[in-house]
Amino acid sequence: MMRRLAIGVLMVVLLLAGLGSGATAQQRKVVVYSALDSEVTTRVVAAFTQRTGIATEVLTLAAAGTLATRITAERARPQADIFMGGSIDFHAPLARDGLLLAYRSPAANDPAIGREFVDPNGFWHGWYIGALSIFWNQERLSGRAPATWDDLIDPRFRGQFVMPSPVTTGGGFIFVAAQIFRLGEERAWQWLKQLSQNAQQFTPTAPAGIALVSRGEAVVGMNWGHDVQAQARNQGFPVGLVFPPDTATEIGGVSIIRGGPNAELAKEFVDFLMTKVPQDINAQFGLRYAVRSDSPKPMGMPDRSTMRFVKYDRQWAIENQARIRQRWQAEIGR
Amino acid sequence: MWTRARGRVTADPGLAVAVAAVGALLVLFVLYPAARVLSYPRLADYLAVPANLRWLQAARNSLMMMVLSTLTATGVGFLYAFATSRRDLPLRRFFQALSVLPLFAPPFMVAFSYILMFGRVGLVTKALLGLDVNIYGWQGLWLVQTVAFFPFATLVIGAVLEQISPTLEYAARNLGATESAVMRTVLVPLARPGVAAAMLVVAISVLADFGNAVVIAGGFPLLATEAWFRIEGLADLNGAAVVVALLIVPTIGLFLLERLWVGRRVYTALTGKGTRIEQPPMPPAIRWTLFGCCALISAFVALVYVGVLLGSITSVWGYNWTPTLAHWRLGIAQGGAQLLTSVKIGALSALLTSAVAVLAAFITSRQDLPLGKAIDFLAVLPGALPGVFIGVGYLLAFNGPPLILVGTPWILILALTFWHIPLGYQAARAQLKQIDRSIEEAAQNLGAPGLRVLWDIYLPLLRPAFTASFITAFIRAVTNVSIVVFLVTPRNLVATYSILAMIGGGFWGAAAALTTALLAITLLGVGVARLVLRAGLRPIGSV
Amino acid sequence: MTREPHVRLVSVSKRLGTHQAVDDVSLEVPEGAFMTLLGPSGCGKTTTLRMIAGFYAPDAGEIRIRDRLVNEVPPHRRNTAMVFQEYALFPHMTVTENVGYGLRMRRVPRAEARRRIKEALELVGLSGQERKFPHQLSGGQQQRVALARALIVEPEVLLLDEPLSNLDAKLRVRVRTEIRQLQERLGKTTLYVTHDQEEALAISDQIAVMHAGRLLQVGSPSEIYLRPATRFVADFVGLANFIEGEVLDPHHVRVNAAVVAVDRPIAQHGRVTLLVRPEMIRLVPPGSARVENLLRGRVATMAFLGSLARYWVEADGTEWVVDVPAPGHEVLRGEVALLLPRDRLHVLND
Repeated sequence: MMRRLAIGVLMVVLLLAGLGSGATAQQRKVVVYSALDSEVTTRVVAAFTQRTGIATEVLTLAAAGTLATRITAERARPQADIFMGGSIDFHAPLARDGLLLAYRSPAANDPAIGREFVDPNGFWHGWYIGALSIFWNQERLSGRAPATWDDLIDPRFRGQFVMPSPVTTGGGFIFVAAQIFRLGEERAWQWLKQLSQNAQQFTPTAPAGIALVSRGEAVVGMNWGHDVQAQARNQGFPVGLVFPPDTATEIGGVSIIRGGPNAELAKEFVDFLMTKVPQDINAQFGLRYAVRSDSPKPMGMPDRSTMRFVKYDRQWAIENQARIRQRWQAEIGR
Repeated sequence: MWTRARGRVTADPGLAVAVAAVGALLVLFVLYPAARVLSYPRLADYLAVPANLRWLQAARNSLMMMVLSTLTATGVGFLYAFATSRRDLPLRRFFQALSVLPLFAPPFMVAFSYILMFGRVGLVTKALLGLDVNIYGWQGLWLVQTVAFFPFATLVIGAVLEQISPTLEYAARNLGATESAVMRTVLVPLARPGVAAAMLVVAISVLADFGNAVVIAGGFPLLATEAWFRIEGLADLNGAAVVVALLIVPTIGLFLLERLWVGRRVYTALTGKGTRIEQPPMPPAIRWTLFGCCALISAFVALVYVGVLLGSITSVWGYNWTPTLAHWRLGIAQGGAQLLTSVKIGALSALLTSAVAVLAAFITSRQDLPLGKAIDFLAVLPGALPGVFIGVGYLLAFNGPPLILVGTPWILILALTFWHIPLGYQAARAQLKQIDRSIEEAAQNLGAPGLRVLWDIYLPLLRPAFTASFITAFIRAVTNVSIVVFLVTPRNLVATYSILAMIGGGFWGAAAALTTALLAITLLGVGVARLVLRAGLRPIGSV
Repeated sequence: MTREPHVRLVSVSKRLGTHQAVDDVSLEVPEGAFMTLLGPSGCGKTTTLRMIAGFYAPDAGEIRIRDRLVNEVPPHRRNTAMVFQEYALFPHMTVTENVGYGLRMRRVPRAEARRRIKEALELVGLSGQERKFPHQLSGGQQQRVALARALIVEPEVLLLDEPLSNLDAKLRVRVRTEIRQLQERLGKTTLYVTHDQEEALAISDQIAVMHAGRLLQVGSPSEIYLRPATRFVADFVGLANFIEGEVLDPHHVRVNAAVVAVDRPIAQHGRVTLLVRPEMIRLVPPGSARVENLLRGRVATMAFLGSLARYWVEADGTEWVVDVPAPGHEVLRGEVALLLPRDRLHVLND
């Protein structure tokens, strides 16, 4: 009988030993939640440790929304110091809910960094840019490749267009807002209705649409250019890519979590991300554009100076987000 | 049978402590998270639901899929169960074994494999037949759910058919019934409670199905997946809570129907003792028709596994069919450690599930203990809760006092543990009923107090139930996605989460490799568990 | 016998659901006695036994073991070992582990336990079967394991609940003899439940007959058989002929046309029932000289049972059962006369 008990206890102990426990607050260590892919994340934090001598503990989950939810859920006992990556549309609500620490990095005063990339209140710092692109399956496309937003409403793409849902994704919403800034609100809705005629589906997550076009399930799509490059073109799929005029961007952010175990060291991490080394790494391995004007462009992507951006009012977009999403569901209904 | 409850419990303090402990655990880890979900959104949030067109659409879609998939899955399940209940069906054992296989697979596997097989670049549709087919959307989901859930219907209906004595068939034939009349007037009416039970089981599964829906439903909103999209895309906990609260209404209803109405009828059907005489043989025409149906259904099941296996060794699916091991290298490099974590978390939660379930069943099997009814209710309640509801519930409940578990692996372990309690609980209850009460009385009579009776007598005798519960809970924990997507911690990433991300991100080869590895590890774990539980828990006499 | 009762039930009642299982039963079991609770199924005998074991608490009344009130004492704190109808052997334990279980619960040191298990198994003749599991044993062997398991804890009171009902007829007779011998050798106070009247008569010091939750009569086997208190008891413990009649005087009863003489004086007046067992009646040729208590009749049917021949005889307007011992080849037919021995006629109380 004692043996039975002993075996049970032993099994539990062995299993427990194999599992990581919660965050442990240790000296000289920054805990980072990263929404970027693991390759970029690993290289960036290694460079940080090399520069500063500060150790890091990194948790990578390539889903900014899930990480933001986790940070909200951990409010009672924050587990991490840094939220790195993901659109500032995920960082701003956290700041609004009082979950972030305000900080103005002196490194952001570098003239190579535009002022629009730092939150006026200091809750987030932008350190990379992603831009919306049009992409298509070269095997299934017949005729001229689309080059502008208006090419997307061409009837030959009926039932063959995919893009992320503006209701469940940040990318989809930025696209809709970009059309409003491009065409004016009422014309934009007319245009979006026409677009929806072509839509095969509005994917509930952003990467799903890239896979659909890669496999030929759909012919043409709208998505983040760097993700299309990484997940389709660099995987060997026959996919073409263009950044149309009047495209819009997301600003990839970094922020300090309030009440995290190592707030002071976290500030050094933010300072570091505003420098050239990590932004170069992100451009090279993550194909994302740096906010610094002195960083090189991502490999295989057009120069940022050749891209034309719509005049995007981020403040207005955030304020009208709920209303726009509501109207989308009412008028487009998908 | 005993009365005077008070006298008994006070005479046995060990038992009183056990009752209190099990009761407290179930309240904290079942009732509290459920209540937290329902109370988290404000009333205004609930009132705003009719204005949210996407959610209304999702609710409509979920109900439509429930009806469609339940009808087809039960129909196919009945056909399969009937065919394999005939002793003279060719390859009967093979067909039976094959239909159990999907129970070991992660819940998104059918959808994933069918995209590979029947999608626009599918092996069957494009490469073999040259068709241009769109499998995404409700038609694809319908096919996938039919294949994914008919084995449940087969299991339930098959158990009922097994109990129908062949004597009845002989009697009907003797009285002049034809083959079809026997089927129409004897077998189908007798199997009807089983069919009803199967429909409810399948309906609950379809409503709560997260894995297949998230992979193949595409732009077709469903309640089960919407909660995750709220969190994944919008970091909107409040919206997620509202959606899962909407989902729970029909599942609770179906569950009550199953418990109150069908449960009793099926069990009485199952207790009847049939004499095992040979069934009358089928005429060749019927036999070979049934064989054909089984072969066709089995082919659809087999394709699930073939698709994933091939997907893991094909360079670029649909474009470059040369074999490669690159996906396995990538999959194992990224997910190898996660497979190990999956097994650890699965084993630990299955162990806890079985322990709590057996203890709870022991308590509720004695009518004399207070709180028995309440514990019984809480122990079966999780069966009515979809995984996404549990996931959101734990996220909301354990991010603040009284117990902060967010950020630790325990939140995932405990969620899986308590979600699977009904499996082990019902197995243990059923087995307890088989054990003659006098065996317990003999032990008491010889001087063993209550918990000692559990330890010395029931635990060894319940080992089959314990083992079955451990294995089922382990499989379901290792292959779970609906809870995992909400509660996985970055420090303890599990394989299913990465596979889902890989599928979503288009890394189909690596996803297929990791899925195959997960399936292998699941089967390996089941094998090891059987060995350990047989050898390690063998009763050891101390005299 | 003026010994202090070992087990005493005082006005014990027990309701199970809506059924009054035991109704105001009072019973005293003397030290060292073999007391059998006899009755048809559902009469409350098993419920009574289980209350003594502690599986049920009585709704009313007292159960005392050696003067200690045990109403609320849980089963594991009473020293009342029980042998169950289905034996209730632990299927996952060997013979040794089953028999040793009670000693484990009592934390008996290992060496001593080993010795006592050996003794107990020798006592019931199961040496050499120590390592077997219950399912590897025959019914009779399982029964003896159950007995050894109960006896080894040296219980104050031994309780047996229909322990022989799962054995075949021949084995039943052998094992009941063994049980009785063992009980006499050990001098254990024993309560034994059965519905088999022959078994009860063969094995008991005292028999308590129960019916519908009530205790009808307690007495020695011969008292119960020969002088049953009620018609139910008389009928239950053996074949009986009942004669309804009118009391004429303390020694004579009028039955239809005849007058029957009785040795023991009758206390009642008016209508009474007389009991006469089949083997007490003698069949005599019809032409016999007219004597007292002789009834003329006719053989209706006859069954040859080996050690006796059973006749159904119509006489005096009713059917009589008559057993003729050691009948040989002789068969009686047609007209016969029944002789009712006046020293064996018993008048029932009801």
